Amino acid sequence: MASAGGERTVLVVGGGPAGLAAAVELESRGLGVTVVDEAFDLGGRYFKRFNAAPDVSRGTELDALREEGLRRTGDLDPARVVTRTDTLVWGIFPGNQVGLYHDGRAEVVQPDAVVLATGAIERVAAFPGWTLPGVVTVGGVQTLLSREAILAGRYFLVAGTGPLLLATAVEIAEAGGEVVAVVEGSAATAPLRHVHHFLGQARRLRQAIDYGRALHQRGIPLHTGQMVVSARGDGELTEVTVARVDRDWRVVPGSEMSYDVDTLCVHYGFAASTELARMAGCDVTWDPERGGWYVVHDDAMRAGPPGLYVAGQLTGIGGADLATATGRLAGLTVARDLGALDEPSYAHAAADAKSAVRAGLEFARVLNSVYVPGSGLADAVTPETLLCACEEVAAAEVDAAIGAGSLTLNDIKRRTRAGMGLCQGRICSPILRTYLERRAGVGAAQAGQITARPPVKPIPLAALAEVSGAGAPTE
Amino acid sequence: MRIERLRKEPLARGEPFTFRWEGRDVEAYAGETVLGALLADGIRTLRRAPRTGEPRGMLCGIGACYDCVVTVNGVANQRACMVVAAPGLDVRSAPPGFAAEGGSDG
Repeated sequence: MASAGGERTVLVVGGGPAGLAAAVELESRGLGVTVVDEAFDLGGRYFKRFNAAPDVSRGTELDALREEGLRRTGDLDPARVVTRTDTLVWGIFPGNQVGLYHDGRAEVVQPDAVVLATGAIERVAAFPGWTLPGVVTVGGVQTLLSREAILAGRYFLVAGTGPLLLATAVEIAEAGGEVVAVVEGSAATAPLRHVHHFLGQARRLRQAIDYGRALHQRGIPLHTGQMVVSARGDGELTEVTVARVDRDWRVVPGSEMSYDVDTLCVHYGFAASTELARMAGCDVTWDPERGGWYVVHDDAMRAGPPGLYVAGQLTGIGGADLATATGRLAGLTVARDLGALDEPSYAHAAADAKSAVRAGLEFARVLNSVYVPGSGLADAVTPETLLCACEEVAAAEVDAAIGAGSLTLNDIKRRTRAGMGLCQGRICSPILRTYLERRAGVGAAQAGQITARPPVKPIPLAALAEVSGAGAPTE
Repeated sequence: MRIERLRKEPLARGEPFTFRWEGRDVEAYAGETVLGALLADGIRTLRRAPRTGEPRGMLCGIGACYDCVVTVNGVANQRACMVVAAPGLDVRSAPPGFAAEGGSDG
């Protein structure tokens, strides 16, 4: 695979900051690159934030980021880079055979190398009423707002944990929505203990201060050490109750208070989308400092199976700067391994990327240890609360499974169907993990993950049958 | 709610078109998803969960949760957040052959 000559092809799965950074490196080394993304536009969650109305200025900071996003997508030479949006990667099989699906048709391709940059999804929490229309994720609201200039409601409560809460509240308010409060589960003083880590991250620190100031100027209260305990409404959300919590997010009895809102934006951190990596045979490890499950890789982004590389949130939850650095490094390593980049050039360029990765990881480590829900998050759950929204599995059913000895997500899935629905456990896995930890003292590593099976997202059986009829994938 | 201005600058949306939601016309603009156009029209309940009958709508908004699935041109389980609105699209709450018990008009 490392020999020179012939058209070497690389498939980049995911067109966010990591995937695009990898594609730029690969393309500039003369490799044939295909970038696949399930969304109908490139940019990922991060650069999508700057897609709507490109002639509208959002201030220099955001403009600079948007420019960067446009440059990265625009810089890709169409002669060397094929972009396939609205295309799902539904499976990976031995020998880097990759199953694609677009517009009713499935196919299997076999590139020389695959860079997985599948990103992460937001964690939500289970509490009475969390499945009501009007309870949405912070990221979903941001994407709608910036890509379509549509606001998902009128009166908002923004709750959960992390810097994204502040950013989103400000964006909602700037767009004309009414934000009644931001509710942060971590204690107010927690970030201060780590403030020295922010010193090398002037841009991030300035952003945080800017958002805090903007919040204050608009009179939006920020309540720390509180979490959402229930949501109510006759068919759609009208009221949210929050309560004070201790350091482990355990509710302080009698501290409840309610807000009348039509929209609750929640965000409890991210969970890396490791399904494809696991299906490809990569190892995953639980590491709280990397934000949870991440894909094991060497310091050049090789992920185990020959020809398989990872980048972005799969390597640790850490935002767009870290994702970009890992994407660059993955692209460089692929180019080197495919013989498109000589060793001295690689060593020089990779050293730079590696130091950016190290700096990004250091910062991510702090964020991931400050903004992480405590096990008390599960205390809002009542026996009737659904833990799996797709299959509508209530906590009482999960309690019965735990009582019968199910202490892994796979076991709970077998007994209750939790995780068996359309989302295939993406949403309920973090919920079940938190619940297992609180109710049974089972740690994340022991609880494990729901086994990833093709197709990772539903595609029509007819399309699959066509592919298997063509003889691939094998084994 | 469609935003008219971002950072005090007006937004240009072009000409609207319509698609069908539960048999009635809903207005949309180029670049909008079915989910976005429905939300802008005040429609938040997209379906009923099959077992409990609970109302469901947008949750993640990025194609991961499958809570916003609707039937598009007769094909069930399409994520409203991932389908780009197009003129004449026929979008329904319930899967083909099921009564539209969940179709809320907002």
